[in-house]
This record gives sequence, C-alpha cells and structure tokens, in this order.
Amino acid sequence: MKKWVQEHHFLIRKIHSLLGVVPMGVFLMEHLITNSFGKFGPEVYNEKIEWIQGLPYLLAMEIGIIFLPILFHALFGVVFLWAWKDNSLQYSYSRNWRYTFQRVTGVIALFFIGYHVWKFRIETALTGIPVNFDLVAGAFQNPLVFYFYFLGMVSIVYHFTNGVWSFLVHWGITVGPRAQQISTYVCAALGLGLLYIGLDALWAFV
Amino acid sequence: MKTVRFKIKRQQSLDTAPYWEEFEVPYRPGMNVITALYDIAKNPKTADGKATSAVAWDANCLEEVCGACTMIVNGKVRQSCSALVDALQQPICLEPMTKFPVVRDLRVNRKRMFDALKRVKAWIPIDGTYDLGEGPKLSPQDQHIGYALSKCMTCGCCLEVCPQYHDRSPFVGAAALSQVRLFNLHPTGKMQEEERLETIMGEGGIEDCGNAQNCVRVCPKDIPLTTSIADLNRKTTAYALKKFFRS
Amino acid sequence: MAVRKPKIIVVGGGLAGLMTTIKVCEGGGTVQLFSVVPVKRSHSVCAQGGINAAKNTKGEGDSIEKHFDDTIYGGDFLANQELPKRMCEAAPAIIDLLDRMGVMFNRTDEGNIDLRRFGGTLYHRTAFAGATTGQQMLYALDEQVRRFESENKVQKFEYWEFLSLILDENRICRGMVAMNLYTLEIQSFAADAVVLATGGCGMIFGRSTNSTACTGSAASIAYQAGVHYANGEFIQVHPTAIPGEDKHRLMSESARGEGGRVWTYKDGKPWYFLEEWYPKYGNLVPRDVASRAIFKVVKEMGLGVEGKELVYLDLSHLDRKKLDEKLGGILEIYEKFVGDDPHKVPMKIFPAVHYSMGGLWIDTNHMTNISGLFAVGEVDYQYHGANRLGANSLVSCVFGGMVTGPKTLEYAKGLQKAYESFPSTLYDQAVLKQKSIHEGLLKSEGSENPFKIHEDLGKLMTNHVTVIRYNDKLQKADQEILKLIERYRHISLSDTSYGANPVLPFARELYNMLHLARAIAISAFHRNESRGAHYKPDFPDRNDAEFLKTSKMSFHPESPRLVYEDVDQRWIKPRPRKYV
Repeated sequence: MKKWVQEHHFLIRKIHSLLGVVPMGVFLMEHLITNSFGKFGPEVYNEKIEWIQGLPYLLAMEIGIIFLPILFHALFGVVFLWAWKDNSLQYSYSRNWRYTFQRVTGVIALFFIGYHVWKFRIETALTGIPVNFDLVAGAFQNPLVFYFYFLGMVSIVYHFTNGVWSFLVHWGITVGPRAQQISTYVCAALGLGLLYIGLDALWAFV
Repeated sequence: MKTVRFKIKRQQSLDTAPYWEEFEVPYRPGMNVITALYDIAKNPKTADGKATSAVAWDANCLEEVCGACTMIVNGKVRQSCSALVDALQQPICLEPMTKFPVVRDLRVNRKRMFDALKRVKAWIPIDGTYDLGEGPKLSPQDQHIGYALSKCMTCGCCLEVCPQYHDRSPFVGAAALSQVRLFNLHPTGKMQEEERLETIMGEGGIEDCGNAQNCVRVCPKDIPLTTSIADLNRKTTAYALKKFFRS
Repeated sequence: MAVRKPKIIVVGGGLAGLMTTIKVCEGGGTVQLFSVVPVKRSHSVCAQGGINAAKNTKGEGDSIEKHFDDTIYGGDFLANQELPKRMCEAAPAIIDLLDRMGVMFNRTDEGNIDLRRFGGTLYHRTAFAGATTGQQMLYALDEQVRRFESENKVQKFEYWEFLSLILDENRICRGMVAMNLYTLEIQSFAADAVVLATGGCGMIFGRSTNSTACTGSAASIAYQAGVHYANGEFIQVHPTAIPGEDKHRLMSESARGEGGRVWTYKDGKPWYFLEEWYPKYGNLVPRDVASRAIFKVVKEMGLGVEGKELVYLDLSHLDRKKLDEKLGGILEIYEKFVGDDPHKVPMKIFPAVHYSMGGLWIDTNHMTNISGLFAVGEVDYQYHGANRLGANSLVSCVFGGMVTGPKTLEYAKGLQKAYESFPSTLYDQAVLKQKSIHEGLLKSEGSENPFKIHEDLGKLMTNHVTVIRYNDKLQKADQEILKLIERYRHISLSDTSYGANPVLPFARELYNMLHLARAIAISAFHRNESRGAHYKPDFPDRNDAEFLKTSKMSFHPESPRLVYEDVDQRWIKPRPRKYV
C-alpha cells in the first residue's frame, strides 16, 4: 500500500485536490441550498427532502458522488497531515495562518461529517426514523450539538473556499501573485456568501 | 563604553544537548552580527566573565551573495552578515537553522539542499566545453525572469520557514523547484523539460507543497518562488494530462 | 584491460577550480574536488561587474588585439604575454560557452548578449549578468560539475581544508593532505596531479573585499613547500568599496561603466576629480590610477566627504529602471548594509584591498616549479601583470581552467611512475606530520589569541603595504610580522575539542598568512619603482631597465630569497602608461 501510494503520488494528490472541488464542493453548495428550504418552514423542507429521497439510483449516487470522494479526500488528507510541522506563530504571515487553518478545519470537518452522516443518514436508515425538519430541530435542542454544527459549518465553508484558492494554484490556474491575490478576494467572497447561507439555514431549525 | 548583548544557542555536536550563552561586545556604528561573532572569537568570554570557546558559524562572502551565514536572528531566519545590530532588538538572539542537522553551534549541514539540485537535474546538458559557437538567443524578458530565478544562493531560508519541509518529509522545497522552472525556461534546457518535470512529480516533489507561501516572504533575493511553484503546477498538470491521453 | 583513468585533485571550487574540473572530466579523468566551503559559496560569487571579451557587437571596432593591448598596458607591461594573449583570443568563445551553459547575461532587444564599458578601455567589452556576474558564472559551472558528480566523475570534499603537499623523493607532487572541517580528521589523498585553485589572500589585510575563505593559506603552504611566490607585491586596491567593520563591500566598477561619477566637495562645490585629471578615460581609469587619485584627494588634500576617509560614487542622476536592470545586485548591497538608497543619494565609498595580481609561479602550462603541482585562478600570477583590468579576472579564471585541466591530463599520461606505486609510508608520514601540528596547537597554552594576531596583521598590512608604500614602513612591516610570528608561538585556542572546532583551522591558516604576508612585504620593499598597483612616492617612475621583471620569492623561515626573472614581451613593447 505504502509503495503504491509513493508510486502514484502525483495522481493521488491531484485527485485529492480535484475531489475537494468536484464533486464535494458542488455537493456542499447544493446541500447548503437544500438546507435553506428550512427557512420556508417544515412543510416545504420536508417536501424537498422527500423529493431527494425519492431520486432514482439514490444510494449509488450517494456512494459514488458523496461517500467515496469524501472517504478518499479524508483518508489522504489525514495521511498528508504527516508532513505538517506548524510554524505560524513564529512566521505569522496571513498565508501561513490560512495554511494552518486549512488543516485544522479539515480535521474538524472530518469529525463533523462523521457525526452528521451517522446521525442523519446511517442511524436513521438503521432505525427507520424519518429524516425531516423535526429531527433536525430536535437535535439542535441540545446546545452542544448546535454549537458543534456551528463550528462544523464554519470549518467546512472555510476548508472548501480556501481549498478552492489552493486548487487554483495547485492546478496552475492562478500563477502570478496578482492572480492569486484576486483569487483570494473571490474565494473570500464565496466563503462569506456560503457562510451566510449555511448559518442562516442553521438558525431556521432553532 | 556602549555594548551590545547577544544570546547564542550553542551545541557541541548533533548528539549533545544545546545550551545558551550570553555575550557582551563593544558597539561600533554600522556593525553587523558577524562583527560581533568575530569580537567573541577575539575575546571568548561570556557576559559574566566566564571563559568559553569561540562560537562556530558559517560565513564567507559577507555581502549576502554566498548564502553561507544563514541563521535564525531574533526568531527569524536570515543571513547574519546583513543583520545590522542597529536594526535589531537586544539581546540579539542567535540560533542555528532548525531544518538541517547541527554541526556545531550556529553551523548546520545543508547537504540535503545540494542533493535536491542533483535530483531535479538543475543544469543545462551541454555537448561539451568546446567552441560550438554562440548560444541560443534569449529575449530580454526571458532573461529578466531567468536572472531573478538564478540568483538563488541555496541559503535555505525558504526551507527553514516551510511547514512542509523537515526531517520526516521528503519535500525538495521551493529552492530546487524554482531551479526546475529556471532550466525549463532556457532555450536549451527546454529540450529536457519533461525529464525535469518527471523529477518533481514523485514523492517529495511539487505535490508536497502546502501553499503556506512563507518561502517567498523570507527569500533574501526576492525570488518569485510561489510563482515558480504555481507555474510548475501548470506544467506538470499539462504534462500529466498529455501523457495520460497519449498513453 | 581498462585504460587507467588519470586522477586529479583540485583544491578550490571557484571559477578556476570548477573549470579545471570540468575539463578533466571531459578529457576522461576523474577529480577529487576539495573546498573549505560548499563550492557554490566560493568567493567567485562576489565578482560583480562582468567578464571581458572583444566581441565587438557595438560597431566600435573592438578587437582581440585591442583587448590584449589594454590588458598588457593596464598591467603596466609586467605580465608575461603569452597566456594573456591566448586568453584574449579565447574570450569571445568563453562567453559563448557560458551562455550555452545558461548564464543569464543581460540581453539587447535583439536577444544578443549586451556589453558594457569597464575601466581601462574605451570599448564596450564587458558581458554581464546584472551586477552579480561572478555568482551567475559560478553557478553555471557548479551545475556542470554537479552533472559530472551525478555521473561519478567528480567526488566532492566540501568543508575540507588543504594542509600540505605530498612530494616524493624527486620532489614530484603525488598527492596532498587535507583535514575535514567537521571532524578535524586528517587524511592523505593520492593523485597524478594536484591543482591549487584557492583564490586570493585578501584576509592578510584584515578587512578587504574578499570572502573570509580568501586567506591565501593554501598558496602559502605551496610557497613554504618550495613553489616560488611571484609578483606578490602587486595587490590591487579597488577604488570603490563600502568601508565596513567586518569587511569592505565592493561597489562594482560597472557602476562607473554605466555612468556613475566619483566626486567630492571642493570649495563647497562638487568636484569630479577623475574627470578633470583624466579627461580621456574619466571615471573609467584603471583601478590603480583611481585608487591613487582618491588617496590623493582624501589623504593629501584632506577633501574627504564629511572630513572622513570617503568620497562619493554617484548614480543618482541615472535612470532608475536601467539601474535596477544593470546594477540591481550592488544597489541592493548598498541599501542593505548602509541604509541609504543609491538611486537617490550618492554612495559613500573608499578604496579597499581587492585582488592579488601576484601568486604562485606557474609556467605557460599552469604548472608550478614543483612537478605535478598546478595553480590556476587568482592564486596564480600569470595574467594581470602589475594591475588587473576590471572584468579580466573572470575570463582569466575560466581560461586558466581550460588550460589547466587538459594539461594535468597530459602530465598524468606522461608520468613514468604512477602514485599507486608509492609505498603507503609516503602518505602516512605526511599525515603524521600534520597530526603533530594539530596536537601541538591543541595543547598550546600561551596567552595569545589567533583572532587578535590576525587583526593586528591586517592593520599592519593595510597601513603599510597597500596604495602608498615607503621603504622604511615596508621594512618595519616585515619586522612587525616577525614579531607576530613570535607571538604566534604563544597562542592558545579557545576551543581545544575535536569536531567542528573553528579555531584550530583558523590558527593554521593564520600561520600561513603570516609567512605569505612577509613575502608580500619583502618583495614590495625590494621593488624600487612605481608600476601598476605598486606605488612608491620615493620612486615615482617606472623603471623598466631594472624592474621590468617578475619577482620570485623562495621561502625560508628566517630570510626568504628574492630573485628576478625576465618578462616575456614578445608582442607588445613597453611604452609609457598614461590615461590622460
């Protein structure tokens, strides 16, 4: 396994980076928008959930487009942490902090997604509890869960949008300092937008 | 008499424990850290008068073109020759670089950097030193870019600050990567572009860059290291796709 | 049977050493390359302005003959003419070669190598890579050597210091002894030939424009072993350097080549004394002339800037963009070390010891008077006569290497007895001798500090053996050096450990510096004339009848011997040297 990873180093890194944007990033945006139906009340929300749950080939899509990419991204993300020796306190440049946060938020996101998937996808599937507005709202009664979701939301949005910035560098799209600076602004705007959408939806369940 | 206070991290060898010593040396206007180290060598006594040995450090050109005297001065990596005492807070704290094995005191062994240059084939494979006529023409624009890259003096600042570069990571680091860009930009070097790209597509190559971009902040020669890396990202991606679709 | 590959030892990894190495590898030999620093950090990196070659790309009618004439005239006719002539002939192809290796020379709009002006010539003859030409050239050669290293033709010994030659019973060089600076371990190395490419000796003057590795120690070891030290009195003092506490930092002649002007205040007004005194060459007179002029203005006339030993080197009237393109490297140095912006204010500079025209005596094959021992680069004496022209050092280093490499192979192939056939005792004894010197120093319990002695040596040499020389002071300098040698017998080292002890190697270098300093002072004393960089107010004229001769010092612990040798003047006859 180790040898295989070493031999396919370039490919794995590139897939890891690509998966973070497509499909994971795209799915994230879709998911946040779907959540926002919670703003229109339980009925609308439940209707949309049912629609999604009624999609053909749902399980295959979930596995192929969501679970496997996340698994791959997470697995190698954790492996890559091995090469991380932080020095952002000593060399306190903003890019260095963003590099550090990318790794911290990645780890938080991993725990968050694990909990989230277990709670709202696997556990419900095993026990037959219906997934709907009330289930989410019920879970948020516990302030710890709510704060965890808040933290998870911030982490995921940061990890994704800063990841987009890195992706653009990593794939050689933004090369010069000016292009990278502009992409910083664009990614920050995207991040703030997604954060608003995500948190606003979170509040809808309180 | 006005004096300058130094705090120096000392270490006899890699396998002995480091310790700190403080020194006080006479102040002269315009003096740099090297001047003070020579003062200590001339009068090897600590600030409290205890006899000690001269500090070991690496230096050669003393004008920031050889890269030898790189160390950590007041917490930041830099060349000690251009570290002017007037611009530093006292006590001036000197430590060896942390990413390379300590040889003694402030001396470290940067062999890994030179090995990296070997790995990435940082040279133009000329046919020989015989008179084969003029070299290829080069536009002034390309010369500008090339010159900026070829000023790299293998000092190691970019690696010292890189959170991805350390003893348990095989990363070649920004300095060597930027050399790949330099040689691939040269009209002759371009002929081996793919061969050179291959050298950085394996483990420890370009993919190990974490984009913290500290390298470009500390490079004493203002080399556009992150631009080099992003440019190589583009080249390696394009090369990988080309290779895949033609396979 | 496989053909025996000659094995050559090269000591020193600057331009000359690396070029020699490349040529040996190319010629089928193998090289063991020794250097006290990683070769990429050699002093060649400090060369700023450029490299001369009469490429005549500016339509000025420059030619190899003119380059040769400028070189000989600039050197006040003291150089033997054969090697300089061949060097000038080879120079244009050397530029092409470096270009092919990837040196980032500045370009014209058409993509050709740009040329600029330099001192001692009226032509655009100097190719350059910004103001870090030496660095760029060294890197190119370093890269080629790394390529050979990856093919196992070169074995590098970095952080190793040369300690002694190994001579057989016929005084033929069969190898050498070196120490590992990380461990102090002493080891012998056998070879068909040894090449010293160990650079200059600026450290003898304490503060100079040289790097700390330029102690002249290796040259002195060879001198003490019997190689003649030739023309040692010719020490170039560069007119424009930033005086510093640890070293004097060079401000390249290219600053003047690009239009920089030297001036000071006289009667409250800027006085461009070089332009006034030398209307034809102006600020681009050769270095010896410019340094003497600055000394005159400052020391005799008392017109130094702010009453100090400084004059202005002014670039502030020139276009900022052009300056950054062509002189970026040195402007950065000035700004970093002084704090002023030379785009805006004139730089404050003063002459500083820069280069040794003299060095180990070699023949036209670059071999010293010890068979099997070669010398190349600043450590040899052949190319620059009594004064080196700016931008000729780089070309002499590369050309010297191109001669030396093949000549060592030729010599090795002609050897009747190979180094392998000598008993190991020859080598072991040499190691034992060095070990006992080591141990003696480590045990020595005197009161003298080697760094202090060095400081005193530097002051002494700078005061008495640089721009203006008087016989009484030169004599005094020699006596004082003898006192320093006496003090040296009572040194103690602050670090007596093995490992990467920095004090012991320095102490060993210091001993060698002291003896080389004597050679310089004594040969300066005996040359009663003024020629090139050697100027005696008591003998203000050149005296070709008596002194158009190479001085050759032979070592003796108490009284070194000086003899003179005729100069090869086959092509250019001496004429008065004036730049007005």
